[in-house]
Amino acid sequence: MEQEKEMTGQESLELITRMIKRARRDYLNSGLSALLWGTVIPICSLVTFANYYLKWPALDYIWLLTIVAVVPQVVIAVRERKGKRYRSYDEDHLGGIWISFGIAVWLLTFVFGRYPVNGEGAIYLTLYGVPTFATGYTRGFRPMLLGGLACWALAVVSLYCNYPYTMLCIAAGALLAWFIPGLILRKCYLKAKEKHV
Amino acid sequence: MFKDLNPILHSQLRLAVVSILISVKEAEFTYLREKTDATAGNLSVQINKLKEAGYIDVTKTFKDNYPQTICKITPQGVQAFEEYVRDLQSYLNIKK
Amino acid sequence: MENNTENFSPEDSLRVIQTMIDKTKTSVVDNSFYFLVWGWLVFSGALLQYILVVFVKTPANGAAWNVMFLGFIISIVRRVKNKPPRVKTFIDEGLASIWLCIFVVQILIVIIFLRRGDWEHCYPIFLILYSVGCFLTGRMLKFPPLVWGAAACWAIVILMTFVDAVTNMLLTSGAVLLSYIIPGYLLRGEYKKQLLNQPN
Repeated sequence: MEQEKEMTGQESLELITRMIKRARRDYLNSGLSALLWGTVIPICSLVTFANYYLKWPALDYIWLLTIVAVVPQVVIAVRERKGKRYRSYDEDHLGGIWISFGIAVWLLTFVFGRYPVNGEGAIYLTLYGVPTFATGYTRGFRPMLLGGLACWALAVVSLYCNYPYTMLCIAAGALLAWFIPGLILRKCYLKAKEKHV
Repeated sequence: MFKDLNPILHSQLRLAVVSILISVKEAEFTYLREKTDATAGNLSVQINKLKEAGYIDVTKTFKDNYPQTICKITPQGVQAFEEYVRDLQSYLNIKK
Repeated sequence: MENNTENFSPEDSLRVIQTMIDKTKTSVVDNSFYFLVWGWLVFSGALLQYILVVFVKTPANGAAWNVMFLGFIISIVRRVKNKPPRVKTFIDEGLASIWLCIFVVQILIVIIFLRRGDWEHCYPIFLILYSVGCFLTGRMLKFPPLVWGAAACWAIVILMTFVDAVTNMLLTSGAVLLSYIIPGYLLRGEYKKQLLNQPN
């Protein structure tokens, strides 16, 4: 029934490691979500910054773009879930981080909508840092870890800036936390896919 | 020479399956087949053996009207795997 | 099976394998201590401030939060006294990194409010952050009371924006009771039960 040869200890150790590495290679993230938010948030904040000087009333609504962006995000999430045939420990935990982050940002926006608080930008940036740092740490993905730290540093910097300039801090934070790591993830993902096919 | 190594785990395909299930929380049958390059028949025989030993849990469900088999390692399986690795280590005389 | 030409050093292999094994372990460690200490401290801080505002009527009511320093002292003493656990699971490490994150962020937010004022608006913002930690701990430990506690916090945050700052102090106490203190005691009970059921 078992037509396989006897393994030596060294061979079985290699087999285990090879299998773990193979399964791990699938942890690769397509990077699309990171790129999406790493583009949307800088666009919104840069437009808001520009509009401080342009003063076009229509551009006041630019942040609604973040609601529109939820649609492609859902599409990305559904597609990624469908194509996946396994669940990993890391992914379960990280999923929780980003869900609670989404809820936290939504609540924060609600609170700020009810009454304006000084230092809004700094508080958003502080919050951006949490899931970014945690993801970078858990995955051992340095660009995101540094991106999270950059958000916190920029939060402090933004306290020393006045209104339109805090928008530049937010744009920089989102670029460092999501856009750049997203690009790196995307590159790795496409390269790995090419090798696979 | 390797008489003391757990015979249930000391087999290429079964060891491969358990190693994958150690790395991911749960995996579909097709995923395991792809990663191990095994035939469906052989793989299901080996999975059954692991299940009988209590090392993995197998659940059958439906996804988009297709039957789906999901495998998951049990705490007992983790323990057995850990012991197996420890035995290997002592055979190979590797210091931690 | 494909023959990989990768070179494995046995030591490397064993390290990779050990990390993977650690990730599968989810034994509940007694995390209730910190939840209870910080829970009761925030609870009494918020309540004390309420008493100072409503009954004592002192403008220096923010001093109530000095009780939080007790928390640092207790946490540090506990750290020093308790030897580090023999096994450190992936969960322990994950939780430690998240709470470290939240700690850093709390300090940053205190700095933000110190610079910008607006203290009467700080309650919902602190609560939002605390609840993230609760939610994640609940998910990682597979302990639903913490997840429900976080959800309760979110509801209270919305409620907070409709009432004045003084009522927010009372609501903070309530939120902490639901998300830290009650789950903390439940977690402790769960841990004791687990100890009893263990063979040795």
